[in-house]
Amino acid sequence: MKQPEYNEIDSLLRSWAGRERSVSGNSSDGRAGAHLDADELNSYAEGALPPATRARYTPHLVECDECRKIVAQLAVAAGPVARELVAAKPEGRGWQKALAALFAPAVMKFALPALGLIVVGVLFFATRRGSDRAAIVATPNIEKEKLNAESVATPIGSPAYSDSTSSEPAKSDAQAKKTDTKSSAAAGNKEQGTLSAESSVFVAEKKPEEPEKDRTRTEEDEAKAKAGAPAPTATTQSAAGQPSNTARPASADAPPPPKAVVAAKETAGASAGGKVLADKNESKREAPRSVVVDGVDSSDAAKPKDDDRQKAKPLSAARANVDRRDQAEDTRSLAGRRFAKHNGVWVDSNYKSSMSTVQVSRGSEQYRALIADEPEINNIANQLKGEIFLVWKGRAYHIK
Amino acid sequence: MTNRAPQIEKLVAEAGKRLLARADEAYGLTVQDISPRTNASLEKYLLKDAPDAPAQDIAEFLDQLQASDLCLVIACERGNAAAWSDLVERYSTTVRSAARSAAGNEDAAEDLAQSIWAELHGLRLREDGRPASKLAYYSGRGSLAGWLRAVVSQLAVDQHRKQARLVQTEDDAEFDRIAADGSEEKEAVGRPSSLPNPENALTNKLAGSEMEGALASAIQEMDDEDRLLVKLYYFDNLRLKEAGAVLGVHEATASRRLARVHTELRQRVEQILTKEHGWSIAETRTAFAEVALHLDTDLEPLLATKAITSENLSPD
Repeated sequence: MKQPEYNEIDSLLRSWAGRERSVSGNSSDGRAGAHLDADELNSYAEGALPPATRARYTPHLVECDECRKIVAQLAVAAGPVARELVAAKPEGRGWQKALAALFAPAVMKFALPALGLIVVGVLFFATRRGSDRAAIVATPNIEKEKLNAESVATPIGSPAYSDSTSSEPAKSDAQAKKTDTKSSAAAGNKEQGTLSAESSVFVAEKKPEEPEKDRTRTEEDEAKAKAGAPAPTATTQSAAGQPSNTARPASADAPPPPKAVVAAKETAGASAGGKVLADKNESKREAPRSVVVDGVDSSDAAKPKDDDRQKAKPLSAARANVDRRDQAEDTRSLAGRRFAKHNGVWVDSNYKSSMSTVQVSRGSEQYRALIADEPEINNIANQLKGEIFLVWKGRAYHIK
Repeated sequence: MTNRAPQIEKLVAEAGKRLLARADEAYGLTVQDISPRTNASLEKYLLKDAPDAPAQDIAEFLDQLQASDLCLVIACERGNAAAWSDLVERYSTTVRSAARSAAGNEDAAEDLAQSIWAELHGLRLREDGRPASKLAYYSGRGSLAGWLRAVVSQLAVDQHRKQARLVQTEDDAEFDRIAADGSEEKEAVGRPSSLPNPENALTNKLAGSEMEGALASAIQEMDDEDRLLVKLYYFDNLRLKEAGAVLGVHEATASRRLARVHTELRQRVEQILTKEHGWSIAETRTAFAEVALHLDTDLEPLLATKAITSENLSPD
């Protein structure tokens, strides 16, 4: 009932009650029949009567002010008891009804397929998320990594940014490798810098003109997965074997080493892939286009787990990662993907450095062929201007 | 019914055993001691309204009796000293507090409590020589504490009624005068300039009378539980929580029920006014709005005017 109507009928009832009170006097005599005895009053108040018996007494209580008053007093005094007595039964039935209704065939007919769909959806989502987890977990550590990179950065003895969490200090006896990514439309990256048998981070600058340099970061897990994939082409060893036991993120306040960063031959493709990470801090103090090559030592400094991994996949351990120079400048969600813009480059959140990447230029024959098969890619490319690292059906594309 | 007697007797006997087992203290009672009482309860509260109740219902009913309270009461009736001691120890506080809330002052409360204990012990002797205690009326259906409170309340009402009869005439006149004063004062304080003009007042009064007649009819047509709710809420001025306690429902349920009652009453009143009094829909709506608007300003002054008039006509 609408509020005004409620107020109106409420007012009318109050008016009626007031008049009734003024004229009724003692309504308990005569018309209401015999009074209830104490046992009946109490049983009524405590809700202890069978429904039919209760119904027999109710009319008297409506009419008889005295009995009603006593029942009200008793009911209020015995409130919890009465509620307990009354509530137990109907609620029990309610539960049974609710359960019965829940499993009624009519409901199940729709509920089961819906449940199935939900389960499938959740599994699918979980699977996809699972594959992204490494990347997602890595994100919060970007700052740490940046700090790490700064502190160690230049001496090159470099931390191996093996996956997110385990950027263990790399002892500098390690041979650092300087990797250079070679532009290769065919995405054929060769890995060369495996001399030290350890993973290394390389780098990369994708565009020579860019004032800020990109670095690629090794993600060992993915490197492992991609062990068989072609490695970055050019790796240059750096002299960098400097001890850099300060490689831990916490060592941000360590004296910054010489800025010498191994210059890298950059490739426009940065095809070694990896996350494009922009690091403002680094860009502030480092020369443009410098490339940091992190040689990672497989020495005791590394976590055993990583060691094992590295030993197992010595060659593949080196992977290029585009270091993050900056936080995302922008983010967009398109076609169910999240893109973050770093240094003017859009990077799919599913993109991993370890993926072999197909480089495609807009307008090229290859591009036309690609969008003919996957028109959605064209939509994405049209909405995201500039370079895009995109993962589509398990393959990585670098759209320029 | 007659042919059910053996079946019921058997059910009562079986339930009696379970009842004795359930009781905290059986005071040496036997099934034969308690069966007449449980049988009486069964007749009074179940079989009278549902003579064909199935055996399961009967058994459930008997198993819901307050075993400990019933054994205590029956043992007291049978003169068990330990039981009496327990009764006094456990329930003297209950009786005293009930008497205090029912009586006007501490002395009256004490008198009332003493009267109750006297009633419980039994002032008269029965044919078998045992005292005719009020305890004989306890069925075991509700709690003993609640029953004692009910006994106190009823006794208080009886005493009040007896006293009231003695001074009724003077009191009535005095009460009317006080009521009139109260209304007059309320009006003067709360709404000094709210007296309606006579024409409107008359119109409203007529409209009000027809509306209230329709409302009274509509209320009479409602089922008893709804009427009880209306009485408890509007007539007794109980809160929804208290009204819900009487109805055995939660406050929220009482609130929903009241909202439904409002809807139904309004629809029914409109129906009565349009069909039986020839009002238009617009008129009923206007009248409702006016009643709401003028309730506080018109109706009470009208009632007060009535009282004042009667007072003025009196010799005083």
